[in-house]
Amino acid sequence: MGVRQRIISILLGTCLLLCGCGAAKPAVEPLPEENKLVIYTSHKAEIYEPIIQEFEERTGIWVEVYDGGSSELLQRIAKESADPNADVIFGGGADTLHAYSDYFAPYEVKVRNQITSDYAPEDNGFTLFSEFPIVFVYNKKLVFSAGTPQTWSELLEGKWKGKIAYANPANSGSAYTALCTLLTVTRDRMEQQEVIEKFTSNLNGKLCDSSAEVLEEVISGSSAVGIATEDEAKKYIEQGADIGIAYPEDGTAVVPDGTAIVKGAKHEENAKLFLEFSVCDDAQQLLQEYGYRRSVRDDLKSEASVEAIDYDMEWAQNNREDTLSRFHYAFVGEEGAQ
Amino acid sequence: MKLSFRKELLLCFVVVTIIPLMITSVCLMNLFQKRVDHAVEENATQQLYGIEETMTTVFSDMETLLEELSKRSAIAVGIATNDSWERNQAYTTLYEKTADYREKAIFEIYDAEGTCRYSTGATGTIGNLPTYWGILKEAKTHPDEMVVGRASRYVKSGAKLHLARGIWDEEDNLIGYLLVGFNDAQFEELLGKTYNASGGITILDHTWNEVYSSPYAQKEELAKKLRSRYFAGESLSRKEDSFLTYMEPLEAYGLYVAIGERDIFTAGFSRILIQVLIGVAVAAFVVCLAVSGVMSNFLTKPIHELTTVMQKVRQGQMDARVNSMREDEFGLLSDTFDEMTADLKEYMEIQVRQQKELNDVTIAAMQAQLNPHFLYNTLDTMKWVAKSKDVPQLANMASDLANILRTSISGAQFIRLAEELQLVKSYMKIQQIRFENSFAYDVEVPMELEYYKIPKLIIQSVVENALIHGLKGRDHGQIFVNIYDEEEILYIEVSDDGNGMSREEMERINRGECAREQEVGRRRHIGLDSIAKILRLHYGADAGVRVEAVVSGGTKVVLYFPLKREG
Repeated sequence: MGVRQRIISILLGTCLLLCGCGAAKPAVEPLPEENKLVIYTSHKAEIYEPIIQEFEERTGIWVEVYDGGSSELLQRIAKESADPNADVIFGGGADTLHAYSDYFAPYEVKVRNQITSDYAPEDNGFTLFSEFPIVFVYNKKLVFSAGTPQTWSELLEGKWKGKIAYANPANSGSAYTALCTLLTVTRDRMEQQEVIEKFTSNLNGKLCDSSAEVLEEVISGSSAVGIATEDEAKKYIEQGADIGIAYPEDGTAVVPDGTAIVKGAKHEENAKLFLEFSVCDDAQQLLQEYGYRRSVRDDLKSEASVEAIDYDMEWAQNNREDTLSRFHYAFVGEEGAQ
Repeated sequence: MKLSFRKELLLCFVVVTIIPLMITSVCLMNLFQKRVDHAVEENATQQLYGIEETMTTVFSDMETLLEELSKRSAIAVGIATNDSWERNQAYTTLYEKTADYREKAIFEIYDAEGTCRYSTGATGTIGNLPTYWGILKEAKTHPDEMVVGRASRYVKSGAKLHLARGIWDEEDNLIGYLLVGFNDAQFEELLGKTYNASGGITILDHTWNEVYSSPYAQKEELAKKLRSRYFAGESLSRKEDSFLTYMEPLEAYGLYVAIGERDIFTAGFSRILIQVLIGVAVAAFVVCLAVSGVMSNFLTKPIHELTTVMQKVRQGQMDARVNSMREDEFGLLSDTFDEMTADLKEYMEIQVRQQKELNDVTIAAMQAQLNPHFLYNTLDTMKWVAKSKDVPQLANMASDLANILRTSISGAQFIRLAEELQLVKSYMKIQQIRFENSFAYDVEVPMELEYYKIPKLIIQSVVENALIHGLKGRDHGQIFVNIYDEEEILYIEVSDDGNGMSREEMERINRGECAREQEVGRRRHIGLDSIAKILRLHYGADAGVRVEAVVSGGTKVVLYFPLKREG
């Protein structure tokens, strides 16, 4: 018996030696589900980080953030609709969100009556977050103050040929909105095709990859003027860039972005809290002061409102492919002619 | 056989070398890993304590400092004023008080609206901070306390962590804020010496967002990994990590410190260890293979030699010997075998000699079954009676028969060839009378062979065979005996032109087999079998009987045996 016991103990010891891996690691209480929130965001970090940090600070809810392009994230939400990972989609233009409203759970925020924008959906499928009008930026050294571009139709004139920085509308949502705006304001006087041809001709075969590049082009002086969003321009001005903003006199598109709760969200109560937080006084104020965005709340709007055009969101959404292909056809034709 | 022995040896070697090697190596690896893990853990715990201590010291120093500053009237006055002397007083107070810490942090003073009024930063005062948001709001809602918070992204000073405290006047009105900021470089200065250069640390806020990460932790995205793993409810460490993680909360300040200690036992390192182990195992296997080859050769070679010799002995080569030079057990075995073979040979020779003697006795007994003298005398009497009664044929027959009988009953087993031929001639004469002279008999023999001795009655037996079986049922026939010698071998050919012999019978005789009993009874061919037997007994393997078919019909029986002048 003694021998057998000894053998068994030796065997056991060997087994322990063989299997004994995996050291003791920091033991922490698991995070309870009611303290979680998963957010997909297409905002830039400088917009979403302070908002989410403060949200976590005030509510004690842990937020897991996935950032990416708005179409990419919305497609992902559509694909995951059977078992949603995301609770909230934070960001994305009202037009884009509108197209995915089937995947959202409507929710009416407490301050809903302060949000009177035409873009706010009646069913509250999503909640507007911020506005950022499309504006002209100009290099102050190259364009004297009286000569700044005043209207969209001015961009079709020969004097701006080769001097316009414009992002590829296929890549940049705001650039496509700008293109539709141009078509909208000129529709009474000109055919769409004529406008597109004149505009592409003025681009002189030059397209930027992103809206950030538009600003860089203008700041460096490679282009005298550019078409960008107001918040982007303000951010660079704040950093000391010597550029100016011109608001088109014939009006511009002010397409807001929004936030939505994903249908079937696992942390729906937290998602509601986040939606409330996104339009609360503090968040909207921070957005204006530190995010260079315009508030969607009427009672908080601090700046003079811009001349907004009647932007046909539905038309823009439905004719996107067609308009883009016509633009690129004209653009390449222009390039080929040189 | 040699191969299988080798395989067995190899298996044994593998069992006794490689398996213990593997087990030992795995045990050692695990032991080593546990030891290293333990050491790393101990080390990490030490480091965590160090970091905790350093940060606690700095933070509590700051707490005291901020409290003191918040009570300084020069500061309180300075916040509101634009008077340059008063501002100068405020700055002087700030710089004096913070002299020991200015390298370690940036000190800023904000007014109640969140506008930066004073800063010890190199670039002077920059920007505002919201008082409804973030760290200033925290300070506002926690009077007489120092608050700690991760710096927001919009903070332009580059600070990653803020310590703040509100400044209240006598009437308990909030008049401003004191803010201490730590940027990356200052964190590195502060904590750089508290952790191993090989690993990295990260400081997390209460919801585990990254406040500061050392370069290694940044590279490994330690903070991000920890947070997303914790969020997903997974284990904080993973096997594929190149680091081991240890965490410690800084409870008083709502912060966490995590250490990512570079893991020596990474997947890559384990792979190398396993590769080395496999390499050693392969080398050991090759050695086993070689040694088992040599060993099996050493062991099986003598066995193989012994087997070969045994085979030879079994085939009758009694002179075969192993003659082993070895002095081990195999040598002993071989020598014993050699001796045994020698003994066996001797024994067999005795056996053969005895058998031959026995055969001689048997033959003598066979040749003398009836008292031949009685027959001979009777025949002689018959010859004289026939002569007196004038029956010459009977007299001749009796005379020939007596002749045959005389030769056959003589004690000698060997007689001269001439005597044998005389006997055959007598025999033929009798048969010619019996069968009315219808057979021709002829003999051709060189004179010099007539004096050689041959076993008696062998030619007579063959001739009788030819006469009775070969020429059976025929009216005419011829028997021809041709005797010659070639290379010391005597050949006696007996040909007839009769019925011939069946092919199988012929082959059987040529193979030297004996006919089976029933065949003997039916065909009466005992003659040739017996002759072959007698010849072999006398002359050994060189003698024998051969039967050939004659082309023109009939049979030729050839007897051959070495020439022997004397019997």
